[in-house]
Amino acid sequence: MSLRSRLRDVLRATVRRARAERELDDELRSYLALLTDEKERDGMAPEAARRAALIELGGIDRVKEEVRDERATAVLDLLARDVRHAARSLRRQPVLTVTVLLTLALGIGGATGIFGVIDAALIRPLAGVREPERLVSFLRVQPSGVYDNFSVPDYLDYRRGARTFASIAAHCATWLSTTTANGGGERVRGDLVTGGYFATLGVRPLLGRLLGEGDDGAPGAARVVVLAHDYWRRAFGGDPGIVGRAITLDGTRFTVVGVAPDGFAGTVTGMPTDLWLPLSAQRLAMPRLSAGILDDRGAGWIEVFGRLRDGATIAQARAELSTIAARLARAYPVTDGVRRVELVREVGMYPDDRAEIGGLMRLLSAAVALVLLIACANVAALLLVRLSTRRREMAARLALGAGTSRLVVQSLIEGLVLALPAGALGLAVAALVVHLATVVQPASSVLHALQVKLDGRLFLFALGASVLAGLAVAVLPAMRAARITPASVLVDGGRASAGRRSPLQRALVTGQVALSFVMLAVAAMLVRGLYDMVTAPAGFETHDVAMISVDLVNEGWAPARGAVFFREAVRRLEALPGVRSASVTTSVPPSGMMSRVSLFHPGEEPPPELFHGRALELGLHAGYAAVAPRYFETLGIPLLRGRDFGRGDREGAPGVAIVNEELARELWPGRDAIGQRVSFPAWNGARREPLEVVGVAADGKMQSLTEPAPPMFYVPLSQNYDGRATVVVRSAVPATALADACRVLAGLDPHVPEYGAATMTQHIEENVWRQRMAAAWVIAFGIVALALGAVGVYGVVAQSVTQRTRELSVRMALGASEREVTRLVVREGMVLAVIGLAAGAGAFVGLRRAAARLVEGVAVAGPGTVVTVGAMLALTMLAATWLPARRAARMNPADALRYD
Amino acid sequence: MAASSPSILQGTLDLLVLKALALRELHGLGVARRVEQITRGTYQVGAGSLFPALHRLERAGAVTSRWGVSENNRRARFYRITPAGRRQLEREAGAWKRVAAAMHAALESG
Repeated sequence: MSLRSRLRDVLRATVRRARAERELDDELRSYLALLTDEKERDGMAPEAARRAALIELGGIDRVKEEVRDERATAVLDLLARDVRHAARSLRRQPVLTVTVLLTLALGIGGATGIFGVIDAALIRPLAGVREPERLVSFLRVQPSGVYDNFSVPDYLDYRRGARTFASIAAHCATWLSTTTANGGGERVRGDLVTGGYFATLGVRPLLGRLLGEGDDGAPGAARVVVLAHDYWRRAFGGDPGIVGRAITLDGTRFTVVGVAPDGFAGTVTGMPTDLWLPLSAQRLAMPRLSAGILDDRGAGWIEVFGRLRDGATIAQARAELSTIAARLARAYPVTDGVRRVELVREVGMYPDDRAEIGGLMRLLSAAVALVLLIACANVAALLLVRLSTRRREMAARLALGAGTSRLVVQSLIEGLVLALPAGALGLAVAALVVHLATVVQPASSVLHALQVKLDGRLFLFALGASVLAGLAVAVLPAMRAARITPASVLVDGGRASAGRRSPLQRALVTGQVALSFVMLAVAAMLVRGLYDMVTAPAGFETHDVAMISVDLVNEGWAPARGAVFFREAVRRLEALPGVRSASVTTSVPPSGMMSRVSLFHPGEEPPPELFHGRALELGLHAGYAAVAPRYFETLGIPLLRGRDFGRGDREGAPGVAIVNEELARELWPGRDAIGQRVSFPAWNGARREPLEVVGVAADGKMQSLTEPAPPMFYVPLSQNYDGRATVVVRSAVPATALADACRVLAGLDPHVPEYGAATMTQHIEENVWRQRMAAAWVIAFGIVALALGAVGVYGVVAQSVTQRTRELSVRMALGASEREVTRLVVREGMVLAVIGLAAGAGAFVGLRRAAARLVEGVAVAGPGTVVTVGAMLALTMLAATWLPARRAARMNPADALRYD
Repeated sequence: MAASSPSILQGTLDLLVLKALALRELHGLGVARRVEQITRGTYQVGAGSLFPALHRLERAGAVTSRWGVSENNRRARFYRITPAGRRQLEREAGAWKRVAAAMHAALESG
């Protein structure tokens, strides 16, 4: 019976059920009437008789319930029997069952794991807050489209004026130094928040209290801090008496007033907060910002979000904010004139981070979906083979009276009996996938600290995927089962369709090969892209460098003391064996997020008020680094002209700078940069003495290996002191040098927090973590796909050999050699493989551009990739077909013919 | 073709219903009265047990049903035993008789 008539049957059954209900109702009413008649005959009055009959019946609805329950029990019994039957039958073929279970577990587990990561990173709302869907982020956008932060006066104006919001809060995150229990230094992630922060989010304290409006008092007065749950566990062992104790942050003592609950880690996904301070503690916690920044309307440094009032919509909020923004633009044209304010739903990941990993996640989703598809195709093919060997059994059952629909249902149940346990196994795979996608990633990646909880959502996804997979793999065998009739079996004696090849199975295998090709080709493309990226000349030394970052803002170190520390560190490091040179810098390439400055020709600087607040739009934008002498030598950046910084460029001496070629070309096209002067206003626009260019360095990929060389502006660290800098060391054995350097620095002062100790190779790996992750995952999936495809081809050829036993034996008996028989069988399998390869190659050529776009910095693959991957696949498939072919050739023709 | 393993009471009721229908076709109430009659009043089947049993037997193919008209001109659903039902009746009646004989012997002996 065809699928269409199956569906018609189901429809009819549903209609039938409604009719059956009505008939039951009629029947019960007639029973009641007959019973009433009986009682009347016995002498009761009609009314009394009816009442007595009703009582005796016990209630029409209750009887209906009983009948319905009875029906349900029967269905469940049937189901239970089908499940037992399926389990027994599968147990009889352990190899097949285990293969199928593992295959499906891989596919379902992979999909569940990747879903978990995407869910936690992009879909799930912020954890630990009340009604996260009512939270809205404020974004300030420059005309160029770049996102900017808010100033405190602006934030206060929005807060006062916005009626569509129940409350608005602001925060600014920063790194802080603290002393650990054993006296060492540690960096922690702090968030300076306004009084309404916790209230707006709806977070309640675990211990003590959270920050509130009262802590918004006089700047510097509120030295209180709230700890995050994980940090409290980690640093204080979960001490319940922590409230009231003092901790030191950046040299100042703060009192712990509370601990946040487990599950809340701040408002930035992927970057958990360790502790919260009041915004009024800015001068203590973020001293590098200018003194009056809390009152400075032009300084954009805080992030703002709010909770919509009950009943207000985001559209209304947007309209209201535009009005307020327009009013501010009119009142303060200089600082607020050109920016607009946007609202986005949710507080969580920054829009750029979200966009960044969006492409990566799409790639992973596509890859894992392909693997699941291949896995299902593989299993479906295996089940089809199994079905064809059981045709006789099934035909017998049909003859004994089982309906065709029963056989179909049994096929589907078999699929579920396979898929559901596979799904359970898949959860273990999912856990592994999640671990590899998050914890194993470098610390700088936004995925590293992602909390993926293996909870209800994931289980539901795994369950759904298992059910879908189970039905998907069972559909084809079920349809085939529906076509079995006892007659057809009698005709060919029940042997697996002798002489009739299964086109469906071949199509499945061809499809698998094609999909495997696509995955492997994409993997090859990614690997090639990665390799090119990492080996291309970067403009600086990519191997023989080691680095450690230090934070001297701890203990309130004055610049003089810090300078001494740096000089002494460099001296001791250069004395180490194996170290060629050492230096200090505020920015090591490739630096990911690099400081930028605006540069002007002397005399062309805008007035401070104009500059202030629009710094990112005016002048020439350049990457910035304050470096110690011998920096360029240490990092292998060629100094093309002029000189390096030296002892003479100390504090108080005339200000100097070194530029790279790109910057020179932009500021002084066609002229020699040496001797030119450049103006480099301070952060708040205050004018400074122009600097003289004394050297020109070569261009390099200072920001990222995937981006072209930016203009770079270097100044001496001695004239532009910064307590947070990185010590760099040039050595032929960077790993050893790194260990030595750590010791040297610890020896100089054990309290100084060190972090980010790495060799340049490791540092670069972190910089390209997205590309590495994409390549690694697609390769892994590609290998799984390849294995599955090979198994599929093997299966088809092996089955074909079994079917053609008689034919091949006759050939051999008539004189065909082993080699000829082998070739015959191999050719059959390879035809499938080649068609699959061609289809896959075609698909890949169509998709490669889209795939390359998903991951930054990857070039579109050329014909070389297609050929290489094709060859590799062809060889694998050849091996897969050769094994059964050999078996065929080794057959004894007499045995085979006799068996028939 | 379900040969489910029902509880003892269920099986007993099914057997009685089949016996009640052995001679002729009856409607629901008629089956209940006949069972009462042939068990000499011991078993009084309520609608809550009767109808599930009738539907069970119908699903198993032991009885068939059709709409008809009762003695006093009421529309009612009539049940009739099928050949498969007769075979089931014979089988289960035989098993019951053996069980009853064994119990009788056991309880009567010293």
